Amino acid sequence: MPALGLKQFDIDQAVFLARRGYVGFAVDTYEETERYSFEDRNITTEDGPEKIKAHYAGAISAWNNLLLKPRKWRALLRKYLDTAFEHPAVASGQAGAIGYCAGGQAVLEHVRNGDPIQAGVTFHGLLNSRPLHLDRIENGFPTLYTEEEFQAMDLVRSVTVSCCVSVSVSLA
Amino acid sequence: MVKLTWCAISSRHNAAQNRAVLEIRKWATEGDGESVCEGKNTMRCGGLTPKFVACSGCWSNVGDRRKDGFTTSSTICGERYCPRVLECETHYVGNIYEQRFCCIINSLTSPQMSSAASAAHPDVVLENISVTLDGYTYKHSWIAYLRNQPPAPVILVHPNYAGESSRLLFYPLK
Repeated sequence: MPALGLKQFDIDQAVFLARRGYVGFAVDTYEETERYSFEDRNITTEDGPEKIKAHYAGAISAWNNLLLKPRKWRALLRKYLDTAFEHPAVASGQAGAIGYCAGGQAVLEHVRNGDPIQAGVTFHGLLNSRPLHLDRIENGFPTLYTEEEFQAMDLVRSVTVSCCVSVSVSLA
Repeated sequence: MVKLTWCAISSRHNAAQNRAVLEIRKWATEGDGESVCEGKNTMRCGGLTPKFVACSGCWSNVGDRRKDGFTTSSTICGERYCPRVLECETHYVGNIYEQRFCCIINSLTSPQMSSAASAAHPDVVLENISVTLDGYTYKHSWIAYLRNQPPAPVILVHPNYAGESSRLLFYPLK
Protein backbone atom coordinates (compact mmCIF):
# COMPACT_ATOMS: atom_id res chain seq x y z
CA MET A 1 0.00 0.00 0.00
CA PRO A 2 1.58 3.27 -1.04
CA ALA A 3 2.17 5.95 1.47
CA LEU A 4 1.15 9.54 1.13
CA GLY A 5 3.69 12.02 -0.10
CA LEU A 6 7.06 10.95 -1.38
CA LYS A 7 7.49 7.21 -1.12
CA GLN A 8 9.24 4.27 -2.64
CA PHE A 9 6.98 4.28 -5.68
CA ASP A 10 8.12 7.77 -6.65
CA ILE A 11 11.74 6.80 -6.18
CA ASP A 12 11.19 3.80 -8.41
CA GLN A 13 9.74 6.12 -11.03
CA ALA A 14 12.88 8.23 -10.84
CA VAL A 15 14.99 5.12 -11.31
CA PHE A 16 12.82 4.05 -14.22
CA LEU A 17 13.41 7.41 -15.88
CA ALA A 18 17.12 7.10 -15.27
CA ARG A 19 17.15 3.76 -17.01
CA ARG A 20 15.55 5.45 -19.97
CA GLY A 21 18.37 7.94 -20.18
CA TYR A 22 16.85 10.82 -18.27
CA VAL A 23 17.65 12.03 -14.82
CA GLY A 24 14.76 11.22 -12.51
CA PHE A 25 14.22 13.42 -9.50
CA ALA A 26 11.65 12.36 -6.91
CA VAL A 27 10.94 15.42 -4.83
CA ASP A 28 9.69 15.71 -1.30
CA THR A 29 7.52 18.67 -0.45
CA TYR A 30 6.18 17.63 2.95
CA GLU A 31 7.53 19.17 6.07
CA GLU A 32 8.03 16.74 8.89
CA THR A 33 6.51 17.51 12.22
CA GLU A 34 6.70 15.88 15.59
CA ARG A 35 3.34 14.28 14.94
CA TYR A 36 4.01 13.32 11.34
CA SER A 37 7.53 12.34 10.40
CA PHE A 38 8.88 10.68 7.31
CA GLU A 39 8.66 7.35 9.05
CA ASP A 40 4.95 7.82 9.55
CA ARG A 41 4.34 7.96 5.82
CA ASN A 42 4.74 4.24 5.40
CA ILE A 43 1.57 2.48 6.29
CA THR A 44 0.28 -0.93 5.36
CA THR A 45 -2.89 -2.87 5.63
CA GLU A 46 -1.33 -4.49 8.66
CA ASP A 47 -1.18 -1.24 10.52
CA GLY A 48 -3.83 -0.54 13.05
CA PRO A 49 -6.60 1.98 12.55
CA GLU A 50 -5.04 4.54 14.83
CA LYS A 51 -1.82 4.62 12.85
CA ILE A 52 -3.71 4.81 9.60
CA LYS A 53 -5.83 7.65 10.90
CA ALA A 54 -2.76 9.50 12.11
CA HIS A 55 -1.08 8.92 8.78
CA TYR A 56 -4.01 10.26 6.84
CA ALA A 57 -4.40 13.26 9.10
CA GLY A 58 -0.71 14.08 8.91
CA ALA A 59 -0.53 13.73 5.17
CA ILE A 60 -3.59 15.82 4.51
CA SER A 61 -2.31 18.47 6.87
CA ALA A 62 1.05 18.55 5.08
CA TRP A 63 -0.66 18.76 1.72
CA ASN A 64 -3.03 21.42 2.95
CA ASN A 65 -0.11 23.51 4.15
CA LEU A 66 1.10 23.66 0.57
CA LEU A 67 -2.29 24.77 -0.66
CA LEU A 68 -2.47 27.45 1.99
CA LYS A 69 0.89 28.87 0.94
CA PRO A 70 0.88 28.84 -2.84
CA ARG A 71 3.79 31.24 -3.12
CA LYS A 72 5.93 29.03 -0.93
CA TRP A 73 4.82 25.92 -2.77
CA ARG A 74 5.84 27.36 -6.11
CA ALA A 75 9.08 28.65 -4.65
CA LEU A 76 9.83 25.17 -3.36
CA LEU A 77 9.11 23.58 -6.71
CA ARG A 78 11.37 26.10 -8.39
CA LYS A 79 14.04 25.44 -5.80
CA TYR A 80 13.98 21.76 -6.67
CA LEU A 81 14.25 22.56 -10.34
CA ASP A 82 17.19 24.90 -9.81
CA THR A 83 18.84 22.30 -7.60
CA ALA A 84 18.47 19.74 -10.36
CA PHE A 85 20.02 22.10 -12.89
CA GLU A 86 23.08 22.42 -10.68
CA HIS A 87 23.61 18.67 -10.61
CA PRO A 88 26.40 17.47 -12.89
CA ALA A 89 24.25 14.68 -14.30
CA VAL A 90 21.63 17.14 -15.52
CA ALA A 91 21.67 19.04 -18.77
CA SER A 92 20.89 22.40 -17.26
CA GLY A 93 17.81 24.03 -18.66
CA GLN A 94 16.31 20.82 -20.00
CA ALA A 95 13.51 19.60 -17.79
CA GLY A 96 10.12 18.01 -17.57
CA ALA A 97 7.81 17.07 -14.74
CA ILE A 98 5.32 14.31 -14.08
CA GLY A 99 2.90 13.80 -11.26
CA TYR A 100 -0.13 11.86 -10.20
CA CYS A 101 -3.10 13.41 -8.43
CA ALA A 102 -1.69 16.20 -6.26
CA GLY A 103 1.57 15.72 -8.07
CA GLY A 104 -0.29 16.60 -11.23
CA GLN A 105 -1.14 19.98 -9.82
CA ALA A 106 2.51 20.39 -8.89
CA VAL A 107 3.32 19.95 -12.57
CA LEU A 108 0.81 22.64 -13.46
CA GLU A 109 2.20 24.92 -10.79
CA HIS A 110 5.57 24.70 -12.49
CA VAL A 111 3.97 25.93 -15.68
CA ARG A 112 1.98 28.65 -13.93
CA ASN A 113 5.12 29.81 -12.23
CA GLY A 114 6.94 30.19 -15.51
CA ASP A 115 9.49 27.57 -14.58
CA PRO A 116 11.75 26.48 -17.43
CA ILE A 117 10.32 23.07 -18.11
CA GLN A 118 9.62 21.96 -21.63
CA ALA A 119 7.13 19.18 -20.94
CA GLY A 120 4.76 18.07 -18.24
CA VAL A 121 2.45 15.13 -17.79
CA THR A 122 -0.24 14.85 -15.15
CA PHE A 123 -1.88 11.55 -14.40
CA HIS A 124 -5.38 11.95 -13.06
CA GLY A 125 -4.00 15.22 -11.78
CA LEU A 126 -5.66 17.91 -9.80
CA LEU A 127 -6.05 21.20 -11.61
CA ASN A 128 -6.34 23.90 -9.00
CA SER A 129 -7.22 22.69 -5.53
CA ARG A 130 -8.76 24.79 -2.83
CA PRO A 131 -7.43 24.28 0.69
CA LEU A 132 -9.36 22.58 3.42
CA HIS A 133 -10.69 23.84 6.68
CA LEU A 134 -9.25 21.04 8.75
CA ASP A 135 -11.11 22.26 11.80
CA ARG A 136 -14.51 22.28 10.11
CA ILE A 137 -15.77 18.76 9.69
CA GLU A 138 -18.98 17.99 7.84
CA ASN A 139 -20.11 14.44 7.15
CA GLY A 140 -16.80 13.23 8.41
CA PHE A 141 -14.70 15.29 6.03
CA PRO A 142 -13.04 18.69 6.28
CA THR A 143 -14.78 21.42 4.33
CA LEU A 144 -13.23 23.11 1.35
CA TYR A 145 -12.46 26.78 1.23
CA THR A 146 -15.26 28.55 -0.52
CA GLU A 147 -14.48 30.21 -3.80
CA GLU A 148 -14.63 33.57 -2.04
CA GLU A 149 -12.21 32.43 0.62
CA PHE A 150 -9.96 31.00 -2.03
CA GLN A 151 -9.85 34.21 -4.02
CA ALA A 152 -9.09 36.15 -0.86
CA MET A 153 -5.92 34.18 -0.35
CA ASP A 154 -2.50 35.44 -1.31
CA LEU A 155 -2.59 33.71 -4.65
CA VAL A 156 0.20 33.81 -7.13
CA ARG A 157 -0.19 35.33 -10.53
CA SER A 158 0.20 32.70 -13.20
CA VAL A 159 2.71 33.03 -15.98
CA THR A 160 2.54 31.42 -19.35
CA VAL A 161 5.55 29.51 -20.58
CA SER A 162 6.29 27.53 -23.67
CA CYS A 163 5.60 24.06 -22.40
CA CYS A 164 3.77 21.01 -23.67
CA VAL A 165 1.44 19.61 -21.03
CA SER A 166 -0.45 16.35 -21.24
CA VAL A 167 -3.30 15.87 -18.81
CA SER A 168 -4.71 12.38 -18.50
CA VAL A 169 -8.07 12.01 -16.84
CA SER A 170 -9.53 8.89 -15.33
CA LEU A 171 -13.12 8.21 -16.30
CA ALA A 172 -13.62 5.60 -13.65
CA MET B 1 42.93 4.88 -0.35
CA VAL B 2 40.49 2.14 -1.09
CA LYS B 3 37.95 1.88 -3.78
CA LEU B 4 34.55 1.21 -2.37
CA THR B 5 32.46 -0.74 -4.75
CA TRP B 6 29.92 -2.03 -2.32
CA CYS B 7 28.73 -1.29 1.11
CA ALA B 8 27.07 -3.54 3.58
CA ILE B 9 24.49 -2.83 6.19
CA SER B 10 22.97 -4.52 9.12
CA SER B 11 19.86 -3.66 10.93
CA ARG B 12 18.77 -4.14 14.47
CA HIS B 13 15.98 -3.01 16.64
CA ASN B 14 16.52 -0.32 19.20
CA ALA B 15 13.86 -1.37 21.65
CA ALA B 16 14.28 1.70 23.79
CA GLN B 17 13.46 3.99 20.93
CA ASN B 18 11.35 1.47 19.07
CA ARG B 19 13.09 2.11 15.82
CA ALA B 20 15.53 0.44 13.53
CA VAL B 21 19.19 1.21 13.57
CA LEU B 22 21.44 0.52 10.65
CA GLU B 23 25.10 -0.12 10.84
CA ILE B 24 26.98 0.97 7.82
CA ARG B 25 30.18 -0.81 7.02
CA LYS B 26 32.83 -0.08 4.53
CA TRP B 27 34.20 -2.80 2.34
CA ALA B 28 37.71 -2.58 1.08
CA THR B 29 37.74 -4.46 -2.14
CA GLU B 30 41.41 -4.36 -2.89
CA GLY B 31 43.17 -7.71 -2.79
CA ASP B 32 41.94 -11.18 -3.44
CA GLY B 33 38.31 -10.41 -3.01
CA GLU B 34 38.14 -11.62 0.55
CA SER B 35 36.81 -8.35 1.74
CA VAL B 36 37.53 -6.86 5.06
CA CYS B 37 34.88 -4.90 6.77
CA GLU B 38 36.52 -1.77 8.04
CA GLY B 39 35.08 0.57 10.52
CA LYS B 40 31.47 1.09 11.17
CA ASN B 41 29.10 3.82 11.69
CA THR B 42 25.67 3.82 13.17
CA MET B 43 23.00 5.70 11.39
CA ARG B 44 19.43 6.35 12.17
CA CYS B 45 17.05 4.39 10.08
CA GLY B 46 13.90 5.46 8.39
CA GLY B 47 11.82 3.72 10.94
CA LEU B 48 9.76 0.67 11.41
CA THR B 49 8.27 -0.74 8.30
CA PRO B 50 6.25 -3.78 7.34
CA LYS B 51 9.34 -5.78 6.60
CA PHE B 52 11.12 -4.70 9.70
CA VAL B 53 10.56 -7.95 11.50
CA ALA B 54 12.14 -9.82 8.67
CA CYS B 55 14.97 -7.36 8.49
CA SER B 56 15.75 -7.11 12.13
CA GLY B 57 18.49 -9.43 13.09
CA CYS B 58 19.38 -10.31 9.59
CA TRP B 59 22.55 -9.03 8.07
CA SER B 60 22.36 -7.85 4.57
CA ASN B 61 25.14 -8.81 2.31
CA VAL B 62 25.85 -7.38 -1.06
CA GLY B 63 26.55 -9.09 -4.29
CA ASP B 64 28.15 -12.46 -3.83
CA ARG B 65 30.24 -11.55 -0.87
CA ARG B 66 29.81 -13.39 2.37
CA LYS B 67 31.27 -13.06 5.75
CA ASP B 68 30.64 -14.61 9.09
CA GLY B 69 27.61 -13.09 10.59
CA PHE B 70 26.15 -12.24 7.28
CA THR B 71 23.56 -14.25 5.52
CA THR B 72 22.52 -14.18 1.95
CA SER B 73 19.15 -12.84 2.94
CA SER B 74 19.46 -9.80 0.80
CA THR B 75 16.33 -10.89 -0.94
CA ILE B 76 14.54 -10.36 2.33
CA CYS B 77 16.20 -7.14 3.19
CA GLY B 78 16.11 -6.00 -0.35
CA GLU B 79 12.38 -5.91 -0.45
CA ARG B 80 10.54 -2.71 -0.40
CA TYR B 81 9.54 -1.16 2.84
CA CYS B 82 12.70 -2.16 4.55
CA PRO B 83 14.35 0.34 6.84
CA ARG B 84 15.80 3.23 4.99
CA VAL B 85 18.82 5.30 5.61
CA LEU B 86 18.04 8.95 5.90
CA GLU B 87 21.36 10.49 6.62
CA CYS B 88 24.59 9.71 4.88
CA GLU B 89 27.85 11.51 5.07
CA THR B 90 28.54 10.60 1.52
CA HIS B 91 26.67 8.62 -1.00
CA TYR B 92 28.86 8.23 -4.00
CA VAL B 93 29.35 4.52 -3.86
CA GLY B 94 31.94 3.47 -6.35
CA ASN B 95 34.00 6.58 -5.97
CA ILE B 96 37.28 6.63 -4.16
CA TYR B 97 37.30 7.80 -0.62
CA GLU B 98 39.87 7.99 2.06
CA GLN B 99 38.90 6.86 5.50
CA ARG B 100 35.32 7.78 5.09
CA PHE B 101 32.25 5.80 5.59
CA CYS B 102 30.07 5.08 2.68
CA CYS B 103 26.41 4.80 2.41
CA ILE B 104 24.36 1.91 1.19
CA ILE B 105 22.87 3.76 -1.70
CA ASN B 106 23.41 1.97 -4.96
CA SER B 107 24.14 -1.29 -3.26
CA LEU B 108 21.91 -4.18 -4.06
CA THR B 109 20.60 -4.35 -0.56
CA SER B 110 19.85 -0.70 -0.38
CA PRO B 111 16.14 -0.45 0.20
CA GLN B 112 16.06 2.62 -1.98
CA MET B 113 17.46 0.65 -4.87
CA SER B 114 15.87 -2.63 -4.18
CA SER B 115 13.15 -2.67 -6.77
CA ALA B 116 13.49 -5.22 -9.49
CA ALA B 117 13.99 -2.41 -11.94
CA SER B 118 16.95 -0.87 -10.24
CA ALA B 119 18.59 -4.02 -8.95
CA ALA B 120 19.21 -5.19 -12.46
CA HIS B 121 20.90 -1.93 -13.37
CA PRO B 122 23.91 -1.31 -11.19
CA ASP B 123 24.84 1.70 -13.30
CA VAL B 124 21.91 3.62 -11.93
CA VAL B 125 23.09 6.01 -9.27
CA LEU B 126 20.64 7.20 -6.68
CA GLU B 127 21.50 10.15 -4.52
CA ASN B 128 19.74 11.71 -1.64
CA ILE B 129 19.15 15.41 -2.20
CA SER B 130 18.31 17.96 0.46
CA VAL B 131 16.75 21.30 -0.30
CA THR B 132 16.38 24.15 2.15
CA LEU B 133 13.74 26.83 1.86
CA ASP B 134 12.74 29.38 4.45
CA GLY B 135 14.88 27.71 7.06
CA TYR B 136 13.43 24.25 6.63
CA THR B 137 15.39 21.42 5.04
CA TYR B 138 13.49 18.85 3.01
CA LYS B 139 15.61 15.76 3.36
CA HIS B 140 13.86 13.01 1.48
CA SER B 141 14.30 13.72 -2.20
CA TRP B 142 16.17 11.38 -4.51
CA ILE B 143 17.79 11.91 -7.86
CA ALA B 144 18.56 8.98 -10.15
CA TYR B 145 20.83 8.89 -13.18
CA LEU B 146 23.09 6.62 -15.14
CA ARG B 147 26.71 6.57 -14.19
CA ASN B 148 29.29 7.83 -16.67
CA GLN B 149 26.79 9.34 -19.07
CA PRO B 150 26.69 12.86 -20.48
CA PRO B 151 24.28 15.28 -18.82
CA ALA B 152 20.67 14.45 -19.58
CA PRO B 153 17.33 16.23 -19.21
CA VAL B 154 15.82 15.97 -15.77
CA ILE B 155 12.26 14.91 -15.07
CA LEU B 156 10.84 15.84 -11.73
CA VAL B 157 8.57 13.23 -10.19
CA HIS B 158 5.92 14.78 -8.00
CA PRO B 159 4.23 12.46 -5.53
CA ASN B 160 0.54 12.16 -4.98
CA TYR B 161 -1.00 12.77 -1.63
CA ALA B 162 -3.59 10.04 -1.87
CA GLY B 163 -3.30 7.40 -4.56
CA GLU B 164 -4.36 3.96 -3.52
CA SER B 165 -4.48 5.19 -0.01
CA SER B 166 -7.58 7.07 -1.01
CA ARG B 167 -9.31 3.81 -0.28
CA LEU B 168 -8.71 4.72 3.28
CA LEU B 169 -10.54 7.95 2.72
CA PHE B 170 -13.66 6.54 1.22
CA TYR B 171 -13.76 3.19 2.94
CA PRO B 172 -12.37 4.23 6.25
CA LEU B 173 -11.50 1.71 8.87
CA LYS B 174 -14.45 -0.58 8.84
